[in-house]
Amino acid sequence: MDSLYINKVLSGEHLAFSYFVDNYKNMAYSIAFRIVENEEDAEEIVQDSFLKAYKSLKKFRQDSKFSTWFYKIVVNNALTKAKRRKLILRSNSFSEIENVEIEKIETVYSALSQDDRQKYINFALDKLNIEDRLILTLYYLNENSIEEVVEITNIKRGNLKMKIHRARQKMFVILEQELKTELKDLL
Amino acid sequence: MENIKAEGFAKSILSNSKLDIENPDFNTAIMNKISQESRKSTLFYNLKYYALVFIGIDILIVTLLRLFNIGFINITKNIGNISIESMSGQLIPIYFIFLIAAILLIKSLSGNGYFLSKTQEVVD
Repeated sequence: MDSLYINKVLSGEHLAFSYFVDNYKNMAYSIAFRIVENEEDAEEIVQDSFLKAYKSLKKFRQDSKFSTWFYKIVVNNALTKAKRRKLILRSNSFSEIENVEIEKIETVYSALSQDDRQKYINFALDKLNIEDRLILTLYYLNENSIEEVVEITNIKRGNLKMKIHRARQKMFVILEQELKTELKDLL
Repeated sequence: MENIKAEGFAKSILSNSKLDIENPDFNTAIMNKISQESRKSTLFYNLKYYALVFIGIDILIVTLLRLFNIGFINITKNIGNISIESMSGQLIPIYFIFLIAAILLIKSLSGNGYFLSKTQEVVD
């Protein structure tokens, strides 16, 4: 479907580009927001990325998915913005990742309302560094394959699996700590 | 086993982290920028096209005039280099009449869809 619209845009129907805006804007926004942590900046990044994608659509060789190519543009734009705003990769105190009891977290988490779940997960993601947030968003939320995450982030394939695992564990540790109070309330 | 469980749980909790753009004018803003960009590239394409047509017609007229041995320009050899010295005063109006006629012809053909089909698609 993407290639049909790519051909339409390339043959001069610039309005056909709205198909990509409709389908990819929210995921692009989620990715950008996880990097710059600011709604306005994230919107601006998504707009710039769409414009960049439109201008360089001729160069897109279609040997990967449009989404992979486009999210790479979003990530690069967002990282440039983050560097400009000196959003340094936050180092968090996870020298040793503790063992977490997933079942316990799962029980408490499932008892929460939808709004609270969103609040806690956003809180946990905010506590992670940019790279961890990015790979978790791409791999779990957007369900990109390992190969696609490698292409988007330029992280070496060999390191990525380990990074995903560590980022996931860090997220669970933060969630466990945060949900402790909820757990007490439940009991 | 533990890993599979963790994978599934991570996927389910992260599905709650998707963010949506709430600005209702977002799509319009992007499409406006894209329209502007499209117009810019059309203009650039047209400029390039007309420059090429102009140069092409110019060369054609000069070649035709030379072919029929009309003293349109005087060419002299100057130590191995060819230099154009001057244009015959009487032939200047003829040259311009040819040039304008050719441009008008191209323009009318383009209006009938013989030329610039790509550009017109972009403009539409």
